[in-house]
Formats: sequence, structure tokens, C-alpha cells
Amino acid sequence: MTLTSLSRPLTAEDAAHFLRRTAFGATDPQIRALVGRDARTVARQALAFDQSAAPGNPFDPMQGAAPGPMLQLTRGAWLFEMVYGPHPLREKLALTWSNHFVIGTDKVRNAPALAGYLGLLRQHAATGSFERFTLDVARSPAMLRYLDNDQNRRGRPNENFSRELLELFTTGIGHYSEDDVREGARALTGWTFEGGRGNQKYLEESRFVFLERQHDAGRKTYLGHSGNLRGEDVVRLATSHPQTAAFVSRKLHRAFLADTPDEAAVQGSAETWRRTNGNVRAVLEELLSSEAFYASRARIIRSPVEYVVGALRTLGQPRMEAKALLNLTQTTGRMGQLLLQPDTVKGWDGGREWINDTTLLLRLQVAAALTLGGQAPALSGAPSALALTGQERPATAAATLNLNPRQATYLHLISPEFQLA
Amino acid sequence: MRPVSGAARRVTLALAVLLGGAALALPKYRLQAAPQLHLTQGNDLWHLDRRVMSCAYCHEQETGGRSWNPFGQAIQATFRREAEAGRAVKFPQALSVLLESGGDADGDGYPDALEVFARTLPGDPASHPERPLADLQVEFDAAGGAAQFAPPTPGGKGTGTK
Amino acid sequence: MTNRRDFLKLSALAAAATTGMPGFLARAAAQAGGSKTLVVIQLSGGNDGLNTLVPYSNGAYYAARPNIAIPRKDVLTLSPDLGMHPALRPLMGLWDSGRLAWMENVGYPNPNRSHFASMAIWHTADPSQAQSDGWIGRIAEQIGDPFCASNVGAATPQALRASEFSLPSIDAVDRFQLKLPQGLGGAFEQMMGAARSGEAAYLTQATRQMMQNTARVQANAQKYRSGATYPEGRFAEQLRDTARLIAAGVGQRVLYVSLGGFDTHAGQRAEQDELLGTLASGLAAFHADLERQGLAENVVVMGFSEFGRRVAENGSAGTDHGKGSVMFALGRGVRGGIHGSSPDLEDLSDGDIKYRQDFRGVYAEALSGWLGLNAREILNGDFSGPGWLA
Repeated sequence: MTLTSLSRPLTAEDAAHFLRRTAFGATDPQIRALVGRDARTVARQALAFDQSAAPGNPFDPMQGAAPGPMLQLTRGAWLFEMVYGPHPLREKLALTWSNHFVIGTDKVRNAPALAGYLGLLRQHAATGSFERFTLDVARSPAMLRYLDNDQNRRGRPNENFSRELLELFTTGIGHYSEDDVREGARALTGWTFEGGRGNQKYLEESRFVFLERQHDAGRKTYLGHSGNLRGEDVVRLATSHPQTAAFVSRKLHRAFLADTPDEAAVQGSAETWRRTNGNVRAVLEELLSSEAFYASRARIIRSPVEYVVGALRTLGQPRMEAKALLNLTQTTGRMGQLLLQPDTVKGWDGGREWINDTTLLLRLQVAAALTLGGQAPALSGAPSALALTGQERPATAAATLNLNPRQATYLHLISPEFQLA
Repeated sequence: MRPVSGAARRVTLALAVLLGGAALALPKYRLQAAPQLHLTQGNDLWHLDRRVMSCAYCHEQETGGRSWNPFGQAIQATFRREAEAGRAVKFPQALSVLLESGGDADGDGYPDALEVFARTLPGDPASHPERPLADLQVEFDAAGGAAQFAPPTPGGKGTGTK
Repeated sequence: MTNRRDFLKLSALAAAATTGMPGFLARAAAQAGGSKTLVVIQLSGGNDGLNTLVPYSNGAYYAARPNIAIPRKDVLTLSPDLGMHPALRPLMGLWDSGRLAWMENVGYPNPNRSHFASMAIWHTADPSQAQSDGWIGRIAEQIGDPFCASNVGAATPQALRASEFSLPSIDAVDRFQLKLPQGLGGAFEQMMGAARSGEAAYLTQATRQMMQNTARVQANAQKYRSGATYPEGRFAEQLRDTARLIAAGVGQRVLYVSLGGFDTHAGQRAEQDELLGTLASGLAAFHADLERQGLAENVVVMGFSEFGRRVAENGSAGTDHGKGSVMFALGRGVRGGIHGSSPDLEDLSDGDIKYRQDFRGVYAEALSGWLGLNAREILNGDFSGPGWLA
């Protein structure tokens, strides 16, 4: 059964909730602008983003002095886009997809390859075709490099991408056999890229190429289908597998509904997914206007990046020095979320996994730096409790009564309420 | 938990903002040389930006590697000479010694220190100041001569005398 | 057991609900008893055991790896058949003095070639993948002290998760403290004291626990002076912090350090050689430090990886995910030598070695023989080990 739409016009807390989940957070005027509106329209408009970018981004990865600096500039540019960009939902989705189609800058150290990968995540952020999205990612030099399919050749298969395509990107574990992994690898032989290899060529363009002579053109059996399968067939069979609808829908629910998703709601989205042949935009529009979405309050522990971007967007996108933003990308890394570098190809687990003594300590230190520190950005007035906590009358209200705006904002930023979405 | 003085608080806050500074995996010599040569002003991201100082300052390739241009070779020779003279120097000292020596590594007629001052490449003969040498020399001397490229003082934040 | 665990959960919650140092923690620290520490080294990504402990007399090894085998002349000879990768040279002193043990051919039933599944199996000590808490988390429950083990690093691995709490991660000892700005103490307490449920209650509890843990570390970590020169790099820094925590006597029975990057699908020699060098130089310095501090009697190191790699090299001068691998242990408490028999490289399972030693047997000896704990309770069964402790 598909998800039921919210029937009431948005209340102030509904609006704040929607923006916490889809825009990293928002200011009081941004929240007020959604009050009284229809949930479906609000979701549709939030999803109607184009590919325009924040003006004046100071980070240009192509000016990196070496591969390491180039990576830092790539991360800085992305954080800038999340904080100051016109389409926070597009960036939230790109962040979510970077945790699905995982690559890592430990292996992918080429500026155009990373830009191309990020471009795909934005272009397909609310894709009309998950199959097309998967195909584009599978053939991106970043993914070819990260999961070694560029080394996958006839007679000398490399199973890495073939395995993760099933285990992590489509059906999930338990719905395929080791034979499928092996046969998939055979079908994917010959997909590689040219250009941009080696530490010295970190600024050189690289392109997908299909090397027919390295392709195993023989007969294969994959997920119950036999034939002279090619890479495109494997991607089609894996993405159209019925379990893929549930597996990827569950990830969207974890990103937008709850750290521990409600399985019935997941199945509702999966049904829409199957009915629309993997139209992620349709799934998201239904999801983000559903009763289930609006009923699910304070059930997501904000990730380190969401914590930092959320704080800055709630504070009204104050101007920050480029150096300070860059350091914040490093800090989110120390909090457990270095952009484009999850610990493993499985991605960040999220939820309570974000929380340990060290990462909590860092959250508190970042909150202090953004509100009380000597380099804290200008603060014209404290954001309301609604903007900071999502609640008009939060449990924290009494504690902040006698504090000045900076202190009150600090105390809210370190509260459990702010750290949840 | 326990309240702390203002000074201690500033330290804590600075740490939170500056975290990761030590973990930057960057070419070490470049990070030392750029501020020592006063090339970083006006660029908040100088430590990442090759427009401030690319590897071609000392290497033949824009992306570094195992081949050095004449200025890079001159730095290597400086290390060697200093060692032969029984002096153990680190990179900032070697750089300073080389610039004080008045050499012209790329042979374009402008001494290395003046090229650094004029922000041209001391290892590339095609890159040199447009102004007459004598004019540049006067301005360079007035600014403190090669001493302005002295190594940073131990423990201090400055980069030598001005 | 159930009652005991319930009691512990209640106590931990009670501890979290009060400020300051609760009696529970003080009592637990006394209960933790024992002065022995186990340092666990995780090699993440699947370390290739065959290029670590090299079967240099075995023609099948060289036949399977024409491009990436360690040439016989480079091997550091340990026995007529086995030797170490040359990058492990810093450990030769420990080997010569009988303080380095290699456990051959370690694995578990129905091997899983997924990094995550296999790592979870090693973390939970449960090949059926039914349990979600970690074996070190269960140590903390058995000892009754939620601070008796720590991860030295950024994120707490699953191994250090108990059913109701996570053991702390200490990223850098010096920065491990919260200094609340002046004048905010009262408001902070009021904010923390608000009634909460669900994830908000969890975050409140986690914040309380963090503040207790940091205070305890800072109170104790002042005494250490390094007794050895550590190499540069994050791994060595973490080992140094580990030595510091041990020297500080903060009562931790298990410390956990990870070194990643062993997933060598392509160009293995360049990658693994460097990593093994990092591993060996760091551990040699760590052991020398402990010796000079007079603590070497009380510490053993035990190292593992989530799996080994395929016997035959792949088409990109690397190796794909495999099954069994080697473990190592070092320290004065270790019975030096090679324990267990080497895999038969001509009798493979799907291209992989067939394991002979269940890793839970290696854990069991650490638990009962070194830490004096009930291994059966923690591992949910009896497992025999290779006898790697002296």
C-alpha cells in the first residue's frame, strides 16, 4: 500500500520539520513561508530544483597544488554549496546518494573524476530512472576506479564492483548467490576508463571506455536470466529486481524518515518504486508529503555534516572565511563524516553510530566555535526555539531564558533537540 | 563541566575551529616555502592553491615529480654544500642560505631573491621581472634585501626580519 | 546471566542519570581488578596472510602469484618453511626473543567474503551474524565497568559495543575534555535535566557518559613520559596514546587500535609493503616503550584482519577477498613461535585456503588466559585455541 498524504495545511512545526529534513534546517522567515501550505505542493516545489550553484564559491578543485589539496578543495566546494546553495534538498540528496553509491577519496584522487561523480549525484538527485542513475554511476571513472571494475577483464575477472552492485547498491544481501557475483563480473568485463591515472595526473580528464577485446562475450546466467549478457544487462537486471525497490527505499527512509525505519512505510514506498519502474522523484514526492513523514519527529540523529550545515543555515547562512569552512570539513571528518570518504564501501551507518564520546565532544566544541568563539560569525539575533529545535515550546526553553542570544544559541546547538531532525 | 577562565576557553574554541590543521597531507616544503617567501598574502587558501606556488617553482612539472628545475637543483646543491661544511640545516635554512648567496639559478639575469621578491619563477628563464634590474634592486634593498626571506624564528609566527 | 546483565543495564542508566562520579563507576573500577591489558590491532580491509607470513618453500605459492609473491631471497626466515614479509623487519627482535607469535590458518565456519559481514563476525564473535553487540562490549558487561575498554581512534567499532552502551573512543588524549564556558553551568544542567524520550533521551545519556569519561581520563593521564621514539603517522600516534593510557593506569583492560588500507585488489606489493612497515615499526616502538616503562609484563598485543585474500593473484597484480588468514600476538606474555599448521595451497576451497583454527579459540585464550574472564560466557561456547600465551 502506498503512503497516505498529509491532509492538513502545514503548521509552523510541520514547516520547521520539513525544512530540518529537506534543507538541513532553516531560518524563521523560511519556516513561516511554508506555514499554511499544502504538503504535496511544498514537496513538489522542493524537488523542482535545477543545477544552478551558489555564487562566489571560493573553492576550485582544479587549482589544487597537489592531490591532497585538490581533495580538500573538493570537500570545501561541496560544503560551501550545502551551506550557501540555492537547492539544499538537491545537496541533501547528493549527500544521501554519496552514502549509497559510495566511492572514497583514498582511491579516487582525480579532480575531474570527482567532479563528474558529484555532478551525477546532483543530476540524478531525484532521478526519474534509478536504472539510468546506476548505469551512469557504474560507468563513471570514479566508481570504475573505486571498485576496481577498470581492472575487470575477460579471463581475469575482478569481482569487486559486481559484488557491491548487488550487496550494497541494488538488491541487498540475501537475494543473490556467489554465482551471480561471478557471472555479473564476467558481464562487466571491458568497462574501464582512460586518462587521469596516477598521482601526477590528478587534474587530467578521464573518460569511460568499453574495450570489446577485454569483454567476456560468452553466455552467463545472472539473477535467473541467461544470455550473452553485457554490463548494461546486469545493471538493468539488478536495478529492476523487486528487492531493489525495498532496499533502496529503505535507505531513503533512513535519510528522510527515521534512523530505524518503519518497515510498513518502507514497503509503501517500494510499491510506488515498482509501480513507477524506479522513479525516485515520484517516490520522494510521495514520501516527503506523507503523513508518515510528518508524524516522524526527532527520529534522525543529524550526521556531522548535517549538524554543521544545519547550524549555519539556521543561523541565516552567515559569511564564513574560506579557511574556516575548510576546517569545518576536516572537523566533520573527525566527527565521523569526511565528505566523499566513508570508512567503507558500505557507507556511514548513521543514527547512533554517529555518537561516541569523541564525536559528541566535537559537536559541543563546534557549537561553541560558531556562537561564542572569537571567530564566530556575526549573529543578528538568536534564531527562535522553533528554528533550532523544531518545537515551538521545547523542553529546553526554560534553560535559555536568562541567557544572551549567543549563549542561548550555543546551549540550543548542544541540546539533544538540535542534534535531532 | 567545570567553568574555565576566558583564556582557557579561547584555547578550546580555537582548537575546535582549527582542527585538522596538522593532518593536512600536503607537500611539506611548499608549505614551508610559501610563507617564508611572502607569497601567501591575500589568499586565504594559499596552502592549497597552486596559483600561489605551484610545484613548478622547483620542479620541471606543474604537478611535481622527480625532475627539478634549476632553482630546485640549486636548493639540493645548497643542502649538499651545507652538509659538506659540517652544517646540518633544515629546508627553511637552506632556502634562506641560497637566496642570501645572490645566485641566479635560471640564468635570466635576475638573481633568485629578486625573482622571489618580484613574484616571478627563479627556476624558469622564461619567467623574469619586466622592470630594469637596478630599479628592482633598489626596491628590494629598501624592503630589507634577502634578509626578508630569513627562516621563521623558532616558536614565533613571523617569517624573519622585515 | 540475564539477571546480572539487567542489573548492569540498570546501574549504567542510574549512573547516566546523575552528575559527577557515580558510586557505580568507582565500584566497577575496583571490580575490574587485574592489571593485565589486551591491545587489539585491527588490520582493516583484509590483510593478505600469505604475503605476511610467507610459505617460501612452497612452489604452489609462487605458482599462484607470479607477480606479487615475496621472493625467497627477501623473506625474513622464521622456520624452514615460513618467513615474514621483509617490511616486518622491525619485529625480528621480538621474534628472536620469543615474544612474537603467529597463528596460522585462522578463520571461522562458512566464511563470508564481504568486508562488512566478515568484520562484523570478528567483532561480534558470532559467525551466524545473529548478535549485534561486540565481544569487547560483552567483556565490559561481564566486568561491570562501561569504561574498562576504549577504542583509540575516531569511531567506536562494533566490537566495543555492549547491548546498552558503547565503550568510548579516544581520538587524542590531550583533546579529550569538555570545558563549558563560564556562567553556563546552571543553564546547561537545566537543559540536560529536561524530560526526554527516544533518541533525545539517548543523546542526553550519551552526553552525560562522555562528560564522566573525559573527566576520568584527564584526571589520570598526566603521568606518562614516552619511553621510546615512535615513527611518524597516525597509527604510531595511536599506539603512543595507547601506551599513555596504560601508563596512566586508567583501568582499561582492552584497548583497540585500527590500521586500514589492506584491501589490495590492485597493485598489492606497493600498498601492503608500506602498510606492513607502518605496522611493524609502530608495534616495535610500542613494545620498547612498554619495556622501558616497566609495563611489558602486563600487556599483550593481538592482531587480526577480517579475512585473508585469495591464494591466486588477480589480473591486476592484486588479490580479491579470501577467507582464512594469519593472526599475530606479541609481548612478554606470549609464547613465541608459529602456532598451528600452514594451509595446504593445493587443497583449496573455491580458491581459498581452508581454515583450521577458529578465531574464537584465539579470543578464548586471551579472555581466560590473559584477562582472567569467563570466555564461554562472552563467546557463547567453548573454543580451543592454539596455546599462544606463555
